[in-house]
Amino acid sequence: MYFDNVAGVQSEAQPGRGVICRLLDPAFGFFVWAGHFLLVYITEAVACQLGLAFRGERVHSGLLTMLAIVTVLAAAVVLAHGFRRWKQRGQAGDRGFLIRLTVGDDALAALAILWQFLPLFMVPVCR
Amino acid sequence: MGDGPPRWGWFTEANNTWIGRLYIATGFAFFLGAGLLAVLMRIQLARPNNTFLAEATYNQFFTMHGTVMMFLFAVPIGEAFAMTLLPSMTGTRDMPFPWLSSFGFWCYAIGGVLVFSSLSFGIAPDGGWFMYPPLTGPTYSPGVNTDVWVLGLGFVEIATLAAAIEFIVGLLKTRAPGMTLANMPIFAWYMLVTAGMIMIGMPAVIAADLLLELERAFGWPFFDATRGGDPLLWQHLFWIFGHPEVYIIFLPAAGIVSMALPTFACTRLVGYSWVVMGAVSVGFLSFGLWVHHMFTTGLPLMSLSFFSAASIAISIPMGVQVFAWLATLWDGKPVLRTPMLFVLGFLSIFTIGGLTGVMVASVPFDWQVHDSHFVVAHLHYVLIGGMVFPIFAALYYWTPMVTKRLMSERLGRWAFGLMFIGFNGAFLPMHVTGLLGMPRRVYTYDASLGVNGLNMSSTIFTFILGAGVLVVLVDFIRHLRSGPRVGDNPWNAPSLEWLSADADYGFRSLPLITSRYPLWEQPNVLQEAREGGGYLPDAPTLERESLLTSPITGQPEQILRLPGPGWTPFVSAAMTAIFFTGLTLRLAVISVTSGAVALMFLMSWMWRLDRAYPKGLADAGRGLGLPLYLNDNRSVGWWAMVVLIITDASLTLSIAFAYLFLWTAKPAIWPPDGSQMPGIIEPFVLLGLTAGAYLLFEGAERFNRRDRRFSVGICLAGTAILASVAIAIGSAWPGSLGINPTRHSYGAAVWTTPRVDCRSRCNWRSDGYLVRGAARSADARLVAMRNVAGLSALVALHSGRHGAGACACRRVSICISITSPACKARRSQGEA
Repeated sequence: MYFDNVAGVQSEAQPGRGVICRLLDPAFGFFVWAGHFLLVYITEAVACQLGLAFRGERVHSGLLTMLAIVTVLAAAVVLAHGFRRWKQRGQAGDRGFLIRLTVGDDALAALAILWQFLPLFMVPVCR
Repeated sequence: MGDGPPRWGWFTEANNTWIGRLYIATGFAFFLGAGLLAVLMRIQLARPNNTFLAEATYNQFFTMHGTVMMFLFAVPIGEAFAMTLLPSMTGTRDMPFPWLSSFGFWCYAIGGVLVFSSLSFGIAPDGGWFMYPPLTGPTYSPGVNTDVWVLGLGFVEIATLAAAIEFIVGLLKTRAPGMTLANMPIFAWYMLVTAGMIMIGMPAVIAADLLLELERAFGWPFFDATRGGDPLLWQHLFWIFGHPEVYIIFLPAAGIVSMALPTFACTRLVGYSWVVMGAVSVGFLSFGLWVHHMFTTGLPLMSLSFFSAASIAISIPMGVQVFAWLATLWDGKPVLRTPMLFVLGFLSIFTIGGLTGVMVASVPFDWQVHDSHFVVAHLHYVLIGGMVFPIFAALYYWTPMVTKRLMSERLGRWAFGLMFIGFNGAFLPMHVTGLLGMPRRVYTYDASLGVNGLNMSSTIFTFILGAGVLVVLVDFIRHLRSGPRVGDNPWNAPSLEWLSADADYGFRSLPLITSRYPLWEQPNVLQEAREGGGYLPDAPTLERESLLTSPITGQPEQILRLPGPGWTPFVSAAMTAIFFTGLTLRLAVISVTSGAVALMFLMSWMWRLDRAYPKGLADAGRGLGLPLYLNDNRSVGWWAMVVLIITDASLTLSIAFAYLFLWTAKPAIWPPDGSQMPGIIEPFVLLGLTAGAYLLFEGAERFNRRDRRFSVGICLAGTAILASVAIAIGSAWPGSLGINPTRHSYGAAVWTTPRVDCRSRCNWRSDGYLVRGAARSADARLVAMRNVAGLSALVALHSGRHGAGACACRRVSICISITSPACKARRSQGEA
């Protein structure tokens, strides 16, 4: 391509392909966090309006268990993504920077997701 | 200072460096005005049962103080500094959409002045800066006060979104050659995150405004509890934007601190990657905090706890940043100049505000202090500490870059001392008065409350704080004439903007950047920038140009042609402002006239976009040839449209949220009696018509690529017919089911949701395809008239000027552009 020979400038691998995905990769964990946050918040709101929390202990426990499983799964996905990037560490320059950023953000996002466990186990539903 | 533009150039000049300076001056003017209101309010509160201000006047003052400070100063001033600094800081001549920035600025300035002047006519907003219904609904606020607030916010929304688009696309696509993301100045990272937050968050408050005006103007009861609405819907939508807004305000200030600290500590920023990580984390987590403004509204405990957990979680990335700053101080040898003093003031005051933030993030504590002066103290510690002090640091730090003169060190120290002491003396006691039960937004209090002495003390120290601000003002005016002249880099700063000191634009010749601290670590960078040794030593097209680079590695891709001076952005913005103001004040003739003029200028803007571009590569310097036009996903137009699509999606989701919220809030009466549920036939008919229109669109796109104009025309005509039938049936359908938008919130939500969604889809697909298809089949410039109403059209069309227009958005399938035979030439050239 016409700009392949620019001295001193890193070549951008696969120009035009998946640039947005590569740009947003460091924020992967927070996209999962956002999805999980909305899911548990909306699920609880809708379940309360449908009266699920008051249809016996089994339904109530089932709802909590489902939210807990979703929370664990979300955290696991984020941690797996971070671990995958962690294995690619050691690269220099821009790539290495983006990997460090991704791993750090994934760790924080996983923490923020797991933090939602506290309300699930400590606060009554629909009160 | 550079010579600046000639006489009328104040209105016509369109480059971000210049517009940013106007933004800064205007922002500080609003700051002084809102500060004066604060002083008057403190005089009223100095003594119990005081009569200095009438109750109604006080209501207007605290509403305008909050509104102006938040929307006309705090948000725009960060963008203003960014607009001034980023072109130089990122080593480019200018960012890609200077006309859009100009349009945004003039909307902000004119709209802001109109709103502020409402105080003079007694029609200023009076419902508090967050304007909760039902207080602001048609029943309790029948005048135009609330409409004035919505009007003002509308202008800020236009300006803020325009700036966000400019920053996102500019920072990703017009950095200096070789400036990778890892080498990007930390301030640029903060602004990138801030702009992303605006892109996602701002549509929520746009949706809230829209619903409030629908209720006020047409009686659609979104917030009227007697007709199935819920006032809490406003609070949700407002704070979905309003809480991230706190960080939209804070992050640019944090960027300023992160730039100034290494300079005055004489060392690199410790933990650059960690700070970037913290900024990105804050950008996301801030969207999970909005309900912590609503802890007392009776939401379920678990919901509150989710938000409480997120509120506490955000303290981790915030703490990371604070510790990185402290470590930088520890690592270096700090020099206590005036900007550094303001930075240290920021660190101490903001940390206290953060700690009280952790306190109010706890639900039980918040129940005790909600709506008290404790919260007033907390938010001022966060905002004045977290934003005003860094902004004053920025003023002292970067003024020599613009004026080539230093502000006084002695007056600066006086200013800092007065502001620091005045601020703490004014607001620290409010923690106590709040805990003792003094409510906020109440124009007086009784002597028996036991807060007389503390209130008098707060008022006295407010004057000291104001004196500090006045010292800065005097110092600034004085330094323009008698400040000592300095060289290009008086602080020995490491960042690139100091190389372009005194210029009215970014760089003449764009240097190759290989370091995060180029002035400290790249000895040849000065020569490259000054003596034409970098890229673009000349102007191969003899127009304003810059270099388009790749978003991750900063690889040169295109010579970007930029627009020059022109009246269009100013006149369009002014007429748009007058148009909406006329609507608000019900001045029909003025409104219609100015609307027509605005339309004419916007059309003129579009008409001139589509010029023929020379074929072949142009000399970009250093032996590099680059095209003048790109039409794929490397073009700035493509990126701007991606940003707009996300903004549109966010708006649509906000409206969908409104529907869901109203349903969950009132499930027993949703839908209300008398509303029939749809049968099976109509939905399938509508689905079939929509699917048919969509398929024909796709067909038009494919024929368009093969240059088969007749087939394109047939497909588009079919699309138009099917879409029109679908719209006609869809519009009549809710009415036939007894769904009335004024009778119940259900009807209002049903009528609103598909319309907003339709508008978004129109922006995404319909307009783009129709206009593009028409462009290819005939010279149908008039078709583009449909787009003049929206900011999205402006951006898209503006981007078209830079070669991204008609053919740019193939993959995303959007493109709003106009026409011309040159399109085909461009297309073939670009694809070659």
